Amino acid sequence: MKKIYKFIVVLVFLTGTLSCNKDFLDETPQDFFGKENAFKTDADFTASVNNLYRLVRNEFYTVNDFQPFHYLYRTDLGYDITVGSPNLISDYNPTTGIQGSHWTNLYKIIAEANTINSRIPASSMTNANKTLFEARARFFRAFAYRSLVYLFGGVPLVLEETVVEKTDYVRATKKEVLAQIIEDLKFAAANLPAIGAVKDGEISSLAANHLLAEAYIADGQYQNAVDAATVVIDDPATDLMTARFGSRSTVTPGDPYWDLFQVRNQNRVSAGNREAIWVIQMEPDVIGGGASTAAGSQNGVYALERVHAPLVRDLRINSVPAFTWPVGDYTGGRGVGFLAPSQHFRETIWQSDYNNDIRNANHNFVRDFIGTNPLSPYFGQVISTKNPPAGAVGINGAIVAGKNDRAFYPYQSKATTPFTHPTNLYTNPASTDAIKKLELKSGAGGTYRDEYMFRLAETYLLRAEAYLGLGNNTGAAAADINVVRARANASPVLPGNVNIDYILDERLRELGVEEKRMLTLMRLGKAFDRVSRLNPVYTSVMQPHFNLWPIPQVEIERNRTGKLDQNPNYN
Amino acid sequence: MLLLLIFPITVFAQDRTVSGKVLDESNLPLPGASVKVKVGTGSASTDVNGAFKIRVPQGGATLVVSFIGYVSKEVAVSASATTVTVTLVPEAKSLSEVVVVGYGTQKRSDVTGSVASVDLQASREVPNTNIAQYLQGSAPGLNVGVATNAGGTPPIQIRGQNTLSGSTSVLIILDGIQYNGSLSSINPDDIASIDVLKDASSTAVYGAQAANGVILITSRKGQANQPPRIAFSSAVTTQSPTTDLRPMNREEYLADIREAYYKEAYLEPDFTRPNPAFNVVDKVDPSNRINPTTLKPNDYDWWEEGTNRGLIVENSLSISGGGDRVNYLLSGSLVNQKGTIVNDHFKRKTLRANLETKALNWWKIGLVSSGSFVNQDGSEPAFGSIIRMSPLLTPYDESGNLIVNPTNTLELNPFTTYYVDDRERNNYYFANIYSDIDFPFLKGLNYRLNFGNNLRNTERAFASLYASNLQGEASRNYETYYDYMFDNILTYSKKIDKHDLAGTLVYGVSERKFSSSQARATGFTRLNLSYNNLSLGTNQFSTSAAYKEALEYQMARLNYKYNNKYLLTATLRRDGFSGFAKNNKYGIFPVVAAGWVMSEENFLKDVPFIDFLKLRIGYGEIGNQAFRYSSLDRVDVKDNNNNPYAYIFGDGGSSAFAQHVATLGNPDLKWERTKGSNFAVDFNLFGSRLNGTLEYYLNNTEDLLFDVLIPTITGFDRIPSNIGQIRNQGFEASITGNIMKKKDFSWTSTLNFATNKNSIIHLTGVDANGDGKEDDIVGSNLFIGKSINVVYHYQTNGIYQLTDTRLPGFPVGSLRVVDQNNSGTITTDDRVFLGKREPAYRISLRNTFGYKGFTLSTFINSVQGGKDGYLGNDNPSYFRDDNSIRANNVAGLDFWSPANPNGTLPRVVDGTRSPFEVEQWRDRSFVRLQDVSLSYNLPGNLIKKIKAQNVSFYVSGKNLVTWTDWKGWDPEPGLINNIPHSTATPNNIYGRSIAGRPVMKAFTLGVNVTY
Repeated sequence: MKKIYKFIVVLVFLTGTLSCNKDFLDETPQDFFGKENAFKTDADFTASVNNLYRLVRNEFYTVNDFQPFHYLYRTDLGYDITVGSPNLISDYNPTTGIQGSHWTNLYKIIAEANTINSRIPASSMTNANKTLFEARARFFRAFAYRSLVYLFGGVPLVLEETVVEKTDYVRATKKEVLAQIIEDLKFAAANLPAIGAVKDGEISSLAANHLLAEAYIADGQYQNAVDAATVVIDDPATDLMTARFGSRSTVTPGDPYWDLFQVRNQNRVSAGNREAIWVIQMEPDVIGGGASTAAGSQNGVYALERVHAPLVRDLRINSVPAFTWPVGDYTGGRGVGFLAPSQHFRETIWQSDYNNDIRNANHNFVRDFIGTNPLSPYFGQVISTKNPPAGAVGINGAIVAGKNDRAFYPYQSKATTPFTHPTNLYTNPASTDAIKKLELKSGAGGTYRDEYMFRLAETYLLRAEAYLGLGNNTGAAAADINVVRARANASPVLPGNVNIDYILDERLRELGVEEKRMLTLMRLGKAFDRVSRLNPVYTSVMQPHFNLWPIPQVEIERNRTGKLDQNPNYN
Repeated sequence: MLLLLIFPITVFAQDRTVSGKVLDESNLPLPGASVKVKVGTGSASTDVNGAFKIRVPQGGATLVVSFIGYVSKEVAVSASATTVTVTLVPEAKSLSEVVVVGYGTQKRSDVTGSVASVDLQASREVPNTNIAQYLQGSAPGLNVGVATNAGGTPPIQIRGQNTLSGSTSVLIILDGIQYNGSLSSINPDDIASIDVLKDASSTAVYGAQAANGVILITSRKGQANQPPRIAFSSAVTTQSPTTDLRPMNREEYLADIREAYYKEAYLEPDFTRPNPAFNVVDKVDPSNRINPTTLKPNDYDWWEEGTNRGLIVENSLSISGGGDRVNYLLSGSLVNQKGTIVNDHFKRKTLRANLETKALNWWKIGLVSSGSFVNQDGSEPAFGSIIRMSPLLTPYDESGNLIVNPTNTLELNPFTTYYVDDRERNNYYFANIYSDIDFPFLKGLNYRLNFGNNLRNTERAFASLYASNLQGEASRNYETYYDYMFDNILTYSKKIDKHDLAGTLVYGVSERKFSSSQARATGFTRLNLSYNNLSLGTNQFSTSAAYKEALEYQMARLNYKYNNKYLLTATLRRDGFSGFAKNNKYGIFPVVAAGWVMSEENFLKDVPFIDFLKLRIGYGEIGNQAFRYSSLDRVDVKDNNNNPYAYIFGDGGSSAFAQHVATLGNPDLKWERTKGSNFAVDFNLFGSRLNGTLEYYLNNTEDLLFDVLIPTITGFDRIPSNIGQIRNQGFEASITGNIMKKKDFSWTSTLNFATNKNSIIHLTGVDANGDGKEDDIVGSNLFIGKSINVVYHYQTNGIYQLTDTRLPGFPVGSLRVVDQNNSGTITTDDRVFLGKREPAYRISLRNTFGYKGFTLSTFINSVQGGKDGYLGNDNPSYFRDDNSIRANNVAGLDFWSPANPNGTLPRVVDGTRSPFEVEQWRDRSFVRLQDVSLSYNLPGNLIKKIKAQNVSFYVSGKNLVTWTDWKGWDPEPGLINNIPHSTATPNNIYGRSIAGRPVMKAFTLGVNVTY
């Protein structure tokens, strides 16, 4: 028996040594970080802030070919021309409507910003950097809350990193949310670097002030709004671009407004653009560039060209296609004709200065197309939406002057990048044929260019809104509007004609598809009024309660131990 | 002395010869039976007539007659007798066989837990390339689905769904070692036995990974002292879909477009009289026209082009045998399968070497090893895309060139995949080296050491001119997975009088490591070098990933048997897993189980029809482990496709990398725990005519691992948690009748039946809404008192006709949703419980008939939903937009239109979508004639002539007939384990949608030869 004991002792010893060290079962991530080691240094926090930029770009531009355009459809600007009769009850259904992903995306920005803020105190950064990163995080948090509060009204206000399960949220008031936004932006404006001191694409003190002006307006603090906007306007580093500039400054036809939207012309450092306040960065086929030419136009690229340019492929004149398609010129690249302009955006707003406002010039608002099909008698000829040729048939039947057809409607050329698509999207870039060398691959359709989130022209229009809000200064409001109009060679507006509708129309003229129009209308509570009045497609289906989107039903259900009240009339 | 003259060779003077015959219970000769002299060296075996001759010592002797599957018999031969006739009676097979239990084997009659053995022989002749397919319907409670791709592994589940978000994988033990590779890598011909541990008392020896049951697979070994046995088998199988779904042809497609424009194609007001002015050419997608007034003339069958008759060719060869000290098995096999979809290939080569040597009388060392090389090269056309292509389009132009974008959209010609390079290889290596010591100084003490190793290398390479938006893309991807398992097993067994004692101690560790790297380039002007030179691509990307996890465990088990009557098993297992939170790494799992062999009791001993009767009762606790890293706050730097998160600042700037907090960790995450009870009776009656097992089980699972959905206000949509309790209970029966056994004819029948019912007992334990009852988690589709996969959805009631009054937002032709609360509008409050996705019961019946050399086997399998179970979502719907006009669809769909007012499927044509995507749930119940096989064994004299041991031929069919009311693709595919995360809709059960894939009907011709 002794032998057995010996054996067992040996065995126990053996297994004891085999059981290695105590940390055998410790879990060490191999290809990702943990919170405990990801928030120490400047580089760590920089990575988190980089992600905030990425999240913003994703939500507002690149996620796919429909979500970013929830900010444009169902507004006074345009509508989805492929939808026979819009069903807004469906679109704004709390369960299946369009709002869900936006709510989630915006709160993700807030959560990431809160994590940065909560982790700063224990980091190894210098005090100066701690303040700087806090300012950055708070800017993005304010930016996300601002979108939420316009779209949904008062929403749950979360200001700390969430580290445990939480299901008892309640909605703050709109006033409380706006107060938080203003507080965050004041901090950001005070602590972010000057616009000349940041990299292209980075937020600055001026970006914070621009957003602050808007938030003050939303909160009814008009004098504060004027002051914040004035900081931006009076900054010596900012000016409207009034002279030709940038990569295509010698191309005609062209003008300074047109130059603003040419490839590589948006950034301050590289292009000398002094009008840009905050530019969303896109760079083709670079990791993090947000503008893949390989993924097709439905993912990973800003699909504005695809969505807004008409599907000219299907325009036939006397049964002959007028265009080869897709061609990267003013025929709209590889547009597929989803977002057609409302009559208001297309015609009404331009009436006073139809021929002199450069923003309505054909190279900026394309109404006349040049035939590209060599087999058509209209090859090289103007085919105009204003005066379409007899025998022109599109997708919805015969083309009628002044009426949209999916195959043929006027569009803002800033949706595309005529003649300057990324080289690898051309099918025969080496061709000597003027049309053939511009032929695009079937995966084209993205807008491969940086995008303005904020631009000084908008700051002027915000200040005009603030002056209007003060109630006694339409003269100052008119003066601001006229700065913008003057650059566009449009006639000045008289102070007596300035009202909120005029400013909203001016924003359409100046910003058009560049603007997140839904946010503007909902900030002002004007969605129902403007859309039902000015976009007849929606007139019969627009309802007053659509001035706020519904809280996503799934959020109400997941918030098990609290109560998130639904917005009125959604149940 | 006369005999001496006849047998002059080697006959010792004092020996004599006895001749005889061995018969079975039906008085039929038993060839191959072994006859030995009990004291002495003489031995013989019977010939085809059951006859033998044996030398015995002078005087009286005792012969021991044995035959596999029969009770051995000792026969006394008197000093004067020269002939003897011995009749053997069959052992109840289910009792005599040795079954594999965890860390050891047991005689069936001694088992206290619920262990089912799979009848492999019955399935060998059916076209199965994956051993999981053998398991289908083979044991009650073992639920195996069907695979729809070549060589695929079907989903496997044992005794219902025990978890919400925990692992649902069944634990697979291959020759004692946990096997984490794909079952598709295993050569079915190498497998000797498969046993399934079903209840907690038997699985708990594997503790924390056993929550979903254990499948123990044992590969074949050579026998000691056996001359080389060479076995060759070969089979050819052809396959075709069980369903006749196909895309619409030209005529049907155009008719469908006409209906989609019924407001123009027919006259007002009722839209049933055709409008003569309507011309469908105006409405088709422009890609379908030559010019605005002329349709393309084609009626092209994309389906025909993209599918072919499936073909499987299998060959395997093995050599086994052994001497006194060494035994061996060497085998190799080749499988070549072409799936029904063109380019869905599966080729597998396997090699196996199992060796064991008795280095010393008390020490065995051995190696169980295999290599498996799977080749799935080739890129199949997207199945949905084949259906979606209009019959007016063709894949090739007049000169035979591929049309890359037939529809002028982003959708590629599905047959572009014919022109890509696609390499997909999986190499699996398995080696278990063991040392087995029977300590000479103490009989019954054994120490076994297993060192098992699994290695998988995956190589994927791809090159396509059409990928990446026609810029060309090529990539290479390598993955390596390695795990080892190091087990120390100490057993001691001792018999003292009527007491049989056996103790087992186990200590083991295991680690699993994975790493992958991928290189990808896009933008090729030349792709001639395929994926072999990625540096020709303009844009280059590389990614990598890795993980590691570890386990450590101890187990102690005691088996006790008294007088072959009373059985007791007690086990304690302690498990540690790296995937749990710091303070909850370990869990302890106890078991106790008892058996009572009633037939050994005196009061039953004399009951003539009871051969064997045993009651079993067991209780055990088992765990389920979380997924690695799930308790951690994950700060991730890439998305699910391994693309790094990054941004860029400035024109021409470089990547600025980013990080985000991807998951909300839970530092308290701990083991999910199932407490399972099992009650069973095993019986063998009427002289082994009727035997079987009846079982009832009750499993309560607590602290369920569940990703609780939380408001995205948090920045996350879920958190891994331990919540609530679910209960699974079920009844299982497996009954075999040896109905007839005559001279030339036999008939055996096995019936398997299983029910399982699961229900949620508790969830969060919170009553936040103050209604006095614990709250449901509606957002996760979890409801107290309901089954896990309950269907909580809108009820429909027909389709809105032209003149119907409609609820707000619902267009003509859409499904009419029942307004349960009569509020005048449909909200989420109108959802009701429509049923559940779980079946009510499963039943299967196998019949085997033997006539002379012929064996006919039939296998019928059925899954039934009962009143409101086994629901699947089959909801084709039509919404007219330019995509649906352009797309073809499955033929024969009964869409509503004014001309078809009784159509059952919604068709909406006026551009207004319904506010809800309403699902239609239908019963998937089916009965299937799953296997039929007919085999013929060459008669003995013929075999003798060619010096073989056995030669058989067979033909078989699989999935020959399916009876079901389910429409669309086969009712059975789809995960059995549906985890309700954010949606109640399983995305893997296909009705008449283009997303499905066919299940195969197959015919096989095969031959087995053994020398």
